[in-house]
Amino acid sequence: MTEISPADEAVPVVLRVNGTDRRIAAEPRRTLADALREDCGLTGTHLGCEHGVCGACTVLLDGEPVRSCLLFAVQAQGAEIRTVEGLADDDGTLHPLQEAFWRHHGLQCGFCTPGFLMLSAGVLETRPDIGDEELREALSSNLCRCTGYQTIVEAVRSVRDAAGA
Amino acid sequence: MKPARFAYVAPDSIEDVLDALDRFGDEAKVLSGGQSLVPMMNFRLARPEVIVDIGRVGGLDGMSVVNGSLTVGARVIHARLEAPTGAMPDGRTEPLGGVLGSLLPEVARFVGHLPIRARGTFGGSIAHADPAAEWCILARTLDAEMVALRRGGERVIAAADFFETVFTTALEPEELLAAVHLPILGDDWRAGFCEFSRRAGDFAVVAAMTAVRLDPATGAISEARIGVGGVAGVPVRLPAAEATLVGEVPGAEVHAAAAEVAAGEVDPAGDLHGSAAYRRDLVRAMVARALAQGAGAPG
Repeated sequence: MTEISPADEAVPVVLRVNGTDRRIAAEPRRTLADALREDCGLTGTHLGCEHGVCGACTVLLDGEPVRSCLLFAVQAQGAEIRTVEGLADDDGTLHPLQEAFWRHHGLQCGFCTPGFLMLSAGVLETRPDIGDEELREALSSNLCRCTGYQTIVEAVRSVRDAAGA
Repeated sequence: MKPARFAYVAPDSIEDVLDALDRFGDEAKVLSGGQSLVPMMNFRLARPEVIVDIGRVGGLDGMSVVNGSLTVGARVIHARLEAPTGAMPDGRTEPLGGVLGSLLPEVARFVGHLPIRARGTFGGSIAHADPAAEWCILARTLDAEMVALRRGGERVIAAADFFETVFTTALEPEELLAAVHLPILGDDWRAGFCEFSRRAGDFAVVAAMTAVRLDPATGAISEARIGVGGVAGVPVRLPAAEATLVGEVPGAEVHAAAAEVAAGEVDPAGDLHGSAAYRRDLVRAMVARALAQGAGAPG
């Protein structure tokens, strides 16, 4: 019989986030989003709806964008997790997507931005030649209450086009 | 918006999963991709005592073609059905062609959004049994067979018996949905799927799937299936509408007549997403469009 983690006890969990192993203790019910924010101090990942609709908490799990509020930290052991903190270079040079969101006004209040950046990064890394229609459909995964989306689409499209040029 | 406490076990073999389900019974809930279960847990609509995570079990994420069926492992993620492949009897893995091979991607793109399709699983959706879920409609329309395992046993449940009511299936607490057999529709079948939702990625208000078999000699329909979701506690078949199609040659008038019967055959309840009359209208439109799509005509 496989070992059972009791409900009311924090168990040791190792999360590999942005290339670094983070050793934390988490109850089984700890979502990955809360583990990143509360236990790892990585508060760039935002929590909006906490039921998988808004996408503010999107991170990359083995390269694919996923909702970190719909995943328990214990499930993410052994996976490569990437968060918005891992996008810019160590010297502060912004990721091309971050540059493009800035240039194209792809954000206003900024709350949804980490989720949109990670969604876009995952989409462009796995599907660099994604078509305009598919890109719009992919970006419809997340909610933004400020921009009206057009500037976000333009930002991501510009990065796609620059990479393909 | 945080789940209630639960004990957690993540076995690495099917045997250990079945042992855990046998031991904990209805205190346990199986966690697959978590894209339906975890939202319900975050809302505390679901408060399982024990979560049995099947994410580390091998052998549940295969797709293979055997005896005229595509067997889809319970842990196959939605995204893989956007470009389905199957292990053939000779061991090679090939893109799934044919009518089913075209239908699955057509349906998969309606399932949630991209990040949901990257985690959520086919078997999870079937076991969750949302009456408007695309895969449940597909399973019911095509008469899929669900493979349920328990310690020391296995049974196959027909789709007609599997979906009992909203979020409720014939699975016993100690059973694991391991795979689903989908019939590979021959080249004489024509299938279509049409869904209406208010925003891309939402659950369907109403969705319809149609599959008709054509007599190669006359071009007339010899067998018809119409399945609809969003009008009852389970996805439903519409036998009266199906019967109107048999013997007819597909075409706009024939499709419209069947859609009219379909609209009269359902008995939807109204809710904040649409009144009963509105859903009935949607059934008429979705069935006609699915039939037209299957026939290769614009809806």
